[in-house]
Parts: sequence; C-alpha cells; structure tokens
Amino acid sequence: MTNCRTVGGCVSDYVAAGITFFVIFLVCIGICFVSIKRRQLELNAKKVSVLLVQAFASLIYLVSSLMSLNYLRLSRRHLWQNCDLMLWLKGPFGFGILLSCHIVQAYRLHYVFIARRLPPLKYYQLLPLLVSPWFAVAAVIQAVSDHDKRSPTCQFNIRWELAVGSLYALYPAILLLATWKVRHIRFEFDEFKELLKAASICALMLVVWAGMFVAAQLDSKVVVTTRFIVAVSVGVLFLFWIPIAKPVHDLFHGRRSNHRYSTMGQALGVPVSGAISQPLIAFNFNRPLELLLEHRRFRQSYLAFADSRMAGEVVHFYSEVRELNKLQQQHQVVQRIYMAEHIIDKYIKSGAPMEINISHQMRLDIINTTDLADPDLFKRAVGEVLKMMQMNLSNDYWQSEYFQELKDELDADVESQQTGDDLEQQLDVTATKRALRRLYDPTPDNPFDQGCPFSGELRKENQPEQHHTGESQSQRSEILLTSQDTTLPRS
Amino acid sequence: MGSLCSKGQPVAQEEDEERERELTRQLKQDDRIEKNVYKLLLLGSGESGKSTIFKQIKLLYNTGFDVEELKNYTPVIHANVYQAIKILYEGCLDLQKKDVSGEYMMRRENMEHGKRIAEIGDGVDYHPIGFLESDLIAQIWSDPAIQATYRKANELQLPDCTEYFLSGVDRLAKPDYIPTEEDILHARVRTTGIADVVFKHDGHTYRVFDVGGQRNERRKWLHLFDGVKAVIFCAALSEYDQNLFEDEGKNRMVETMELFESVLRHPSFEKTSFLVFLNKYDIFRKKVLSVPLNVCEVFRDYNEVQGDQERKISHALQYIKNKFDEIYKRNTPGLGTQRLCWLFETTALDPRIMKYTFELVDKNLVVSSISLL
Repeated sequence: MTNCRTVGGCVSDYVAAGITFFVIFLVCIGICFVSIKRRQLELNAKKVSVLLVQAFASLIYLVSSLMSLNYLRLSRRHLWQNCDLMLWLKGPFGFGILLSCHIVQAYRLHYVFIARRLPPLKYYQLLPLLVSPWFAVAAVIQAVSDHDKRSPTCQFNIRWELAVGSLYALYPAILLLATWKVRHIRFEFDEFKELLKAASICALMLVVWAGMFVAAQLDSKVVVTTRFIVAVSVGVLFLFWIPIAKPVHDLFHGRRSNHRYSTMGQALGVPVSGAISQPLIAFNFNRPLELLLEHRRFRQSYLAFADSRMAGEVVHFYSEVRELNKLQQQHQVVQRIYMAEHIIDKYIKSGAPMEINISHQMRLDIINTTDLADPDLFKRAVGEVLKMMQMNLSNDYWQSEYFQELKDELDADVESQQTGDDLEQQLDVTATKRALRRLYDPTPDNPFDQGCPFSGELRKENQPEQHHTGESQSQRSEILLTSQDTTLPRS
Repeated sequence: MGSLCSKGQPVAQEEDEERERELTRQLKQDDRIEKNVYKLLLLGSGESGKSTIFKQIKLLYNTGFDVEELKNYTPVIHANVYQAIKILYEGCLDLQKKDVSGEYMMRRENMEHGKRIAEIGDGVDYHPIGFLESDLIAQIWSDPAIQATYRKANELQLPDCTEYFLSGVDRLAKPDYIPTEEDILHARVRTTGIADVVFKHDGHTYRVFDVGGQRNERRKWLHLFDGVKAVIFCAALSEYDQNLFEDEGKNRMVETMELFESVLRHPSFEKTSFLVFLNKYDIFRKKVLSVPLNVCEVFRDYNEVQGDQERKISHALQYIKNKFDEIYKRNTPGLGTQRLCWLFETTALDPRIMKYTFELVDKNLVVSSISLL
C-alpha cells in the first residue's frame, strides 16, 4: 500500500485519472465547439473570450493536477514532474485565472445591473490585475522556498502552504460575496445560477482540500483515505466543465428546437411591432419619417434601401432602440439594461460591428452614463440618426425602386380590399368605420401611435404642426407625385 | 491607428455578412457589365469635401439639380443653421466657464434666444426658419460673444458653412426661398453609406462613388475597391488645427495622413492612380496667415518664411504638398510602379476651379490610361 502511495497506481488513482481524462476530453470538445461557433453566440458574444480563457485555464489545471498527484505509475521521471512547473501551472495559470474569470464576470454583472453603468475596467484590464497576486506568490515561493524541487507532490514549508491556502480561500470568498450581491437581479440568461454554481463548487473543493491537508498532517496512515478523497475531488473537478457547458448546451438546444433568437429584442420577449396587421390602406406618406417607420412594411422596405446604400446601421439602430422603448414598465428594468448594453456594444462603442456615425461627445455621453436604464439614454442619438436618414436617404428613397415596390404592393392590397369590401361591411361595420376614422382622423388611439418610442412628445408636437408645417408636407406630396413619373432607374 | 479597416468585427453576425457578400457581388456584377466605365472613388476623412466635389460633378457633368431637388435642400440648409447656432451657443457657454474675462458673456436676451434655437436644433422634426427665427438667429450671430466663440471655431465641431449661411439668414427665411446652386454646395450633410453618379464625358463613361469619411464609414469602402480606375483622395488643407468629429482626441490632419498611407498600401490599389485634392484652399489661405502650420504635430518641423502674404501661403502649401508626396513615395515601390499620383490644391465650392481641375484630371487620366494599357 505504501508502494502504491509513493509511486502511484492504486485502483482509486486509475478511477480518478479516468474521470480527469474524461473531463479534459469534454472541455477540449467544448473549447473547439465554442470557438468554431463563436459567431452564433450572438447574445453571449462578449463573454466568449472570457469563456475561452476560463476553459483553457481549467484545462491547464486538470492536466497539471493529474500529473502532480502522480496517479499514474510512471517508471521514468519526466520534465513535467518538476515541482516548480507544477507550482506555476496549478496556481496562477490554472486556478488563479479560472477564479479570476469568474470574478470578472461577477464584476461586470455587478456594475451593469446594480450600479447600472458600463464597467470602467475592461475584462482584459481587470483580469491581469486579479491574476497578478497569484503570479507574485508563485514567484516568491520559487525564489525563497527550500522545498524539494524534484518531488512531483511538492511538499512545501507550512508557511508557504498557508500563504497559498489564503489565496485559495480569498478568491472564492470574493466570488461568493459578489454572487450574494447580485442575487436579487432577475437575470434573463441564468447568469446568477452559473455564478452560484461556480462559487459553491469552489467552496466545496476548498473544504475537501482543507480536509486532505489536515488529515495528512495528523496521520500518515490515513493516506489511503486521503487518496480516495483526492479521487473525489477530481470528481468535483468534473464540474469545471460548467463554464463551457452552458453555451454548448444552448447551442445544441437551440439547434434541436430550431429556435435561435436573431435579435436581442426577441430574446427578451419584446413583442413585435403592433402594426403588423395594420390595414395598409391607412398608409399616408406625408407623415413624418418616424411615424412611417412605425409601420413594419415601410420599415422593411426602407431598411432594404438603406442596406443597398450601405447605410443600414442607422435603420437597424433605430429599430432596436424602438424595441428598447417598448420595455417601459417598472419590472422590465433588467431587460432594459440588457437591451441598452447590447445596443451600446453593437452600435455605439467605437469599433463596434455596426457603429453609427455620431459625434465624439454624444458617444462619450452614452458610454459614461450613470443609468443604463434611463429611458432617454439614446434619445439624442436617435434624433441624430433620424436627421441622418432624412438628409441622406429619404430623398433618394422616394425615388428608388424599393419605394416603388412598396407602393405597388400597397396598391395591390387596396384593390383586393376593395373587392371584398361588401362582405366586410356586412360582417363588421364597426371595424370598417374604425379603419376610416384612422384614415382621416389621427386620434391618440391610432394604432400608428401605439408603441411609438416618443409617442407622448410626438402627439404634443404633431397636432399644432399639422397647421404649422402644412406647407412643407404638401411640398413632399408634390415630390411624391412627381417622383412616380421621374423614377430614375438605378444603374 | 485610426485608419481603414483597423478595427475588426468582433461580433460579425452571419446575416450581416451574408448581406454584405450579396452587396459586394452585386457591385462586382455591375462592374462587369460596365467594363468600359471608368470607376472613380472619392475617399478621404470626414469633412474633407468629398460630397462637395460629388455635387460639383453632378452640376458640371450630370443633369445638375432641378427645382425639386433644389427645394429638397431647404430643410438641410435650415437644419445647418440651427445646428451652427446650437454649437456656437453651447460652445460659448463652455468658454464662459473657462474664461473669466467676460469676453464670452452673451447679452441676456441672446442667452434666452440661443437656448430656444438650440432646442429647435435638437428636435427631430423639420422646423422651417420663419421671420421670427431668422431675426433671433441674426441677433445671436451679431452678439460679440458669439463672434468671439466663432473665432475659436477650430475647437468646436462647427461646419464650414456657418458664416456663409448665418450672415445671410434673412434670405433663407423667405417663404419663397429656393436654394441656389451655391447654397447647395455649401450645405453640410454628413454622408452615411455610398452614393454614385454616372456621367459621360468626351466619349468615356465615368462612375463616381461618394462615401462617408468618418471612421465607422470607412469599413464600407472595401466593397468598392475592385477595379478602380483612379482614387480621388480628398484632404482639407484647413484642418491642421482641428480635431476629429468622431474622436476629439485626434488631429484631423494626422488622421488624414494615416488614412492616405493605408489607402496607398491597400493591395487593390497597386495599379490605381491617385488624384490628391488638397481641398478648402480658400479657408487655408486665410487661416495660414494667423495660425502657424506647426500647431499640428505632423508639421512640427515647419519654419515660416518671411515675406509677403502670397509668399507665406505658397510656401506653406508647398510644404504640405511635399508631405503628401513623401507619403506617396514611401508607399509606392519606385521601380516598375504602375500608378501615378497628382496633387491639386482645390476649392470644392468654386465651380470654375473645379471645372479647370477636372479638365486637368481628364487630360492626365487619358494620357495615363494610354501609357498604362
């Protein structure tokens, strides 16, 4: 038995090694899968890099613990059975980075959802900061400690064991604290659950290690039990799979149910525009652009045109802010924050994938906001974007084939509606009346106005404006009429 | 580096990519159909005058603007006026806080008027300038504090058309106002996306593309880079003391030079000729006499010459031309190069200068196309 202890190769060792190999295998698959499909993880996109770092760290940790505990009966000494190497691999590169990644995520959640602002430190700034104490301790130990460098099991002086132990205890404690602080937030994507899982597993591992350590100090005869516990702790390591498990699960699940969200709005359950079944007869192109954009078919046509001019991001941005503004209720604050953060990442930050063309100051004002749930967060940017649409795109749109197509579609709709008119009138006179009223009298209960991002203000501004800017509107209708005749074929 | 495609797409979405591929394919197809079409690109950083040159091309070689198109510019011009007042007013308030001398203290009634006009400028809907507004605007514009702020325009993101429109604001407020061609050339619209115009001249067909110049717009340029006959690279001579609209920590001239370098280096342009339009020469002529060139970090080694104004101006211009020429030479292999580069100082607002420049360009292009083919 002593033999088995010193050189390895007990039954429990092989079981433990088997489990570890299995976990390594799983993590490897997970890493490959996530890195291949990283583009599909639209909603978790920002976490992918942290996730991969974390997965690699856990891989390093697993491999190094497998080697250092000398489970396998290896006849020859190998390079990796070097105590210093193990010290670095297990400590800073393995457990240190792994825990720090968890803390980075907790830090982000805390900032975004509790402080309601964007975290001042990026993850690639915070992560090195968090990992540095681990590297410092490892460096000091390597320089000062007089341990047996050739023993793979690495017995340190009790002082150093304590120093390392306190680090091992401190980080899970921070993680637990952070998890505790965000417990009230009703997250949409199970962030709290994941944090809690990570924190509790870390705590469990610590207890096991502490038990092992004490047992080994007390009596060398409990070695068999110790090694068994080690096997158990390797079993616990199985749960290192968790950082990578969730996205992989999401991907598989998403594929099977054929239900992938294409927008953040959908993922958060924002109802699609209320104007889908809007009778198209109610179309009036003299309305201000932001009211026209409320209509789904107009928006789609306009978006297609903007895309063809490579200016699609302004319309995409507008639609997403429109979705954000539908989340007005008190209990939807968390959803608003998700949406706001998503919009900032996608459209506002410099270098964002669909960055919009706004001024430096406006961008800074949004990024440095102190309340991500502020309903007016994007108000000025939306105004700017609308102006950009009006100045750059609208005039050309009215003369484009996209507008012509939409008009043809509408005409066809109107015709088909007229043929079925008699029947409809008999069936539901009130509905027709309502439709007529909608046409001629833009009352506040007009479905066009419902769900409009700035409906309150618009209503206020619009009514006097009808007299005020009557001239300019009739001007546009003139343009509209002429544009039909002079439609220029786009080359 | 704030240059072309320096920022990757961290979270590119598949659908977007699909869409972009489709667009690129379409553009390529267009090119194939029009094989004998000279494709010209207008490139350059923000506010370098690309769209003004684009408008000049429309005016000189295309159908120009009919009355409807002229009228369409009224809201744009009015928005320019509101925007200018808003920037001046807010800039003046900022300067008040920093400067205690009282130079930037507006008259009290102008404070209120300014606030009101700025609010209209913030609004989304088109608010035409009536007589009432035009009076207020004229009053604010004549306020000494606003004029003092205007002298510091390089620190604000103020469009170059400010003086042109504000000094004649009552003309814009008339109910029967129809913008003139000059007004349209002055009107400032931040281009987003891509616009093109096709025209025939001397038996050749040209297709000119206009693009947005801010950093976020530059990634869209890549779709146009295939089969370009010549790049018209615009740089505003007068921007050496201004900072970027999209990044106020960076000097515009520095950005332009970096951009020029990265465009020159792009593999698609190995055989593409470059026409560098050093634009806004009119503003430059005035500015260079009062603001020394070496305020800009890339012009640190500039030493002013003694002499009369003309001499100073031409010396400064030659210095900048040499800088651009240096960049061109540094990024073009000397031997066996298949491209050429011309530098022109231009004033995009002046139709006569532009007509002359285009004729020169045309001559050069024809000559080079014979020698290159």
